[in-house]
Amino acid sequence: MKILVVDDEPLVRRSLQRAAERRGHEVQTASNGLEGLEQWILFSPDLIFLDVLMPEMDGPTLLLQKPKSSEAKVVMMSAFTGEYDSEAALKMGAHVFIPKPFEDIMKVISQAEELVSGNR
Amino acid sequence: MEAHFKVFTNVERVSDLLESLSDSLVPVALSEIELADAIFGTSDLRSQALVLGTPFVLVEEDLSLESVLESRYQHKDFSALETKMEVVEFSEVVEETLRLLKKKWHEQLLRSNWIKENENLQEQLLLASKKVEKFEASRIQRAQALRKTSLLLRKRIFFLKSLNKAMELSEVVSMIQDEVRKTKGLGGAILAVKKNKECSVLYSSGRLVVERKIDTWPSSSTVEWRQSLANVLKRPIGPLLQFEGGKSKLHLFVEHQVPKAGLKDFISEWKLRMVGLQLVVDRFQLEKELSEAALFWEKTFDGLEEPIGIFDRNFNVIRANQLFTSDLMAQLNENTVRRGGQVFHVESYKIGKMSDLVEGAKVIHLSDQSSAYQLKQHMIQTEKIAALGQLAGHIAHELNNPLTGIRSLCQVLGSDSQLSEQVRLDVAEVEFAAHRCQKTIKNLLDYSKPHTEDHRTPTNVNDVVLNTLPLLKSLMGRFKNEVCLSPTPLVALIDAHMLQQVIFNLVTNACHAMGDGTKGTIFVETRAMGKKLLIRVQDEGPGVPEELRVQIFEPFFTTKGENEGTGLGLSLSLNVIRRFGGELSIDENYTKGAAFEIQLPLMEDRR
Repeated sequence: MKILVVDDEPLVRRSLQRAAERRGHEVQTASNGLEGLEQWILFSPDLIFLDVLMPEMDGPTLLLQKPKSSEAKVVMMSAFTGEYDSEAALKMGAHVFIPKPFEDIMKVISQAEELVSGNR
Repeated sequence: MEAHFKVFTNVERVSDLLESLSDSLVPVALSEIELADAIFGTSDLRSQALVLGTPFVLVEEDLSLESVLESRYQHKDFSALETKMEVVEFSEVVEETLRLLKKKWHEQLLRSNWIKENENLQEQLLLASKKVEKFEASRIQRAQALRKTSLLLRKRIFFLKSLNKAMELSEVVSMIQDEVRKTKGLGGAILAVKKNKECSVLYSSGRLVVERKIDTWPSSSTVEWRQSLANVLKRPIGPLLQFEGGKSKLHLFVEHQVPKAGLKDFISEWKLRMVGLQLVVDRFQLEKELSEAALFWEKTFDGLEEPIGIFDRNFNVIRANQLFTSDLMAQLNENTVRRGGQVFHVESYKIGKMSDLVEGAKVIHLSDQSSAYQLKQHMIQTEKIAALGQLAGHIAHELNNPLTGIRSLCQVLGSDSQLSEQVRLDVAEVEFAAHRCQKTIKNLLDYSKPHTEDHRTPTNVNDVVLNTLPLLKSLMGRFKNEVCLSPTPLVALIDAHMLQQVIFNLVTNACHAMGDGTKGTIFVETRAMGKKLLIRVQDEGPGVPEELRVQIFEPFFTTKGENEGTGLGLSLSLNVIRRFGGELSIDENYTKGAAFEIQLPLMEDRR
């Protein structure tokens, strides 16, 4: 499965990449929305981990401009649980909302796998 | 006067006489007769001759001798006339006689005048003495009346004076009663007084004077009053004399057993005395009003809920209410005065002129600003917290991301089976530290956002203390620890995690306060206190200086070194406890160090 991680925090990008790779997935990363859009088009991921607040272009904006052909599932992540919740995320075009900080990254990966395999 | 008369004496015969006389007869002028008339008081010639006592012949000028003779001869004295006549100079005799007569006459006249006058005088004297008698009689009468009046007056004045000395109305009534008894046939005296809507009746009962309030004030009719008084005194009332004071607000009734007609003096006297009595009653009522007014003012003054007083220019107290304690007076030079937790603003008003003695006096009012002060402090606190919230939010976001990364990466690393056990444990330790950081940040966010979800559950505070103290072992280990928990569970509606933070905070502060040594005891106690529970954390450090006891609860205030404290601990703790409906305070009576007390409402039904 091809996974794209879009987050401006290098440690988050790296940890998600490592965890996903450990599970045998192919991972690309982007540090902002613009990069993310580019990667989305070039890499055609099956799943995207998308941060909300980022420089250049934020997550919701990126979702508005996503390639129409893409069927990638989107996992939205944010520390601002007060402002964004699952409902808001779904309205913006995401499929799942995961609040930051993660308690267990492995669970996050498995949650994402389940989303793509259609178990949820 | 020429000798016109010739007096013939010893005339033998009238004819002779006439013969001898015919030549010498001289007519007497009428004027001379008039003279005689004047002298003798009569113009009757015969009478004149008689008066003279000497026979003579008078011939009137215009009459013939014959006619004269005829008339004269009729007088029988002439028959006795001597023939021998001695002619005497008439004028001398007459003059002499006239003189004598004149004198005699004059004397007679004087005498008769004197007698007349005397009689008049006597009459007048009589009249006068009668008048004097009459006057004397009336004078005595008047004097008696005057004496009587003055006696009455003196009595009246004496009585009214003695009334004036009375201290109260009942004394007046007993005096009236005594006075009334002096007149026979009179019985009880009853005084009815009306003031505003308050009517009362006073009367002597034995030696006492009874005062009874009455609901209605009868009209002036004595009949009505008699009934009314019978009701009040609860006995039949005899015939009454009624005396009315001014404006029919004062009545004096006197029972009498003798007919009214016999009491005229008494009635007229007491009508007059009523004026004085009215004055005395007025005085009592006025005094009462005055003292009531003074009492009212006094009560109002003392009842004011804030300190107020009158001071002279040197701040010496002239008059102050009870709230104006001396410790407040000592600070009057300042604009703001404090007592305990109360803050007063000094408001001073000059008094124009009270009297020469206290010129420059002023009223000083201490207006209680405590609640305003507290409100202001609370607002400042809220503002600070809001600022802190923004800051915390920002920091939380900035830190959460890397911390999430750190934790996640640690988790990824830790799950690598190829790593040695040692490295795996190290990585786990890093992840745990990152986790703690996240928790701190979360708490900071919770603190600054008071409206986040409510995690309060009924919790036994004893458990919270027991769970917290082990976390502090490294800090507390150096000191003697005493933990004294309530034997019964103390359940409060709290967030255990937050309370743990507070206790953690207080114990940490206690340890820091006791410094690097190992001396001293840290004492932690929980107990029930009425409807509240108490958690006490006590140390034996230097204590909190009095002037800092308010400040230490303010955000960012710290006495610790640069890297030792944020100045948020106590502020956060206070905020947390208040959110639980409790209070965090310093025990000001504890002097061996510092003692912080958390009070929380007990959930009694959950015990």
